[in-house]
Amino acid sequence: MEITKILVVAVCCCVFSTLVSQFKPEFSVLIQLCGVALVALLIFDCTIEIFSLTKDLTAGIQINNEYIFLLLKAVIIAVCGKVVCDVCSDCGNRAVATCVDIACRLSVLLLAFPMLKVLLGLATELIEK
Amino acid sequence: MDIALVFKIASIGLGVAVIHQVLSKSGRDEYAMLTTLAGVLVVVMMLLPHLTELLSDLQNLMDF
Repeated sequence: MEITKILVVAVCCCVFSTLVSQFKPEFSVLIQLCGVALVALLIFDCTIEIFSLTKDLTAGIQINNEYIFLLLKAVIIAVCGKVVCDVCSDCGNRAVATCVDIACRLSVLLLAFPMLKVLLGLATELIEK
Repeated sequence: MDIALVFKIASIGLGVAVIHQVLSKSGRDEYAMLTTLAGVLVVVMMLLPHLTELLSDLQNLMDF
């Protein structure tokens, strides 16, 4: 992961966004979006690597890796939602940010339902024994 | 996707700001607004491929 490149991109975006927002606020939003997309694409390779390392780790032990990937997907949804919420609130659209926040929470909840079902099944089995 | 994109967007923003000032000071407010609109559209068109690349990468990650 090119951490130095990410830091340079982030600083440049902040500087130019602040500079341009004095003249044209619309363009500072676009510079922010560009910075977010650039940094996201730069950290993407690292995310793929983490996923494959997790796959290798769980292959060795007797755990159903489906749930671990559900967990990682929930983390990705939460991070993407937080980024979009912050971009929306930076633009002054608190209502849109709140809607995005709620949507992400609901999708993470949906992701977690299969696990809850399995948990309930295990609990009822234990109770019946 | 390179950091030059950030510089391009910033330069377009500053350029449009200058043109907007010149046009509005010379009494052409409609043209100034159209120039700003054109600038925003140009930048959005520059950003779109990269945002679609990001979204398709995210989609691949979710299908992992």
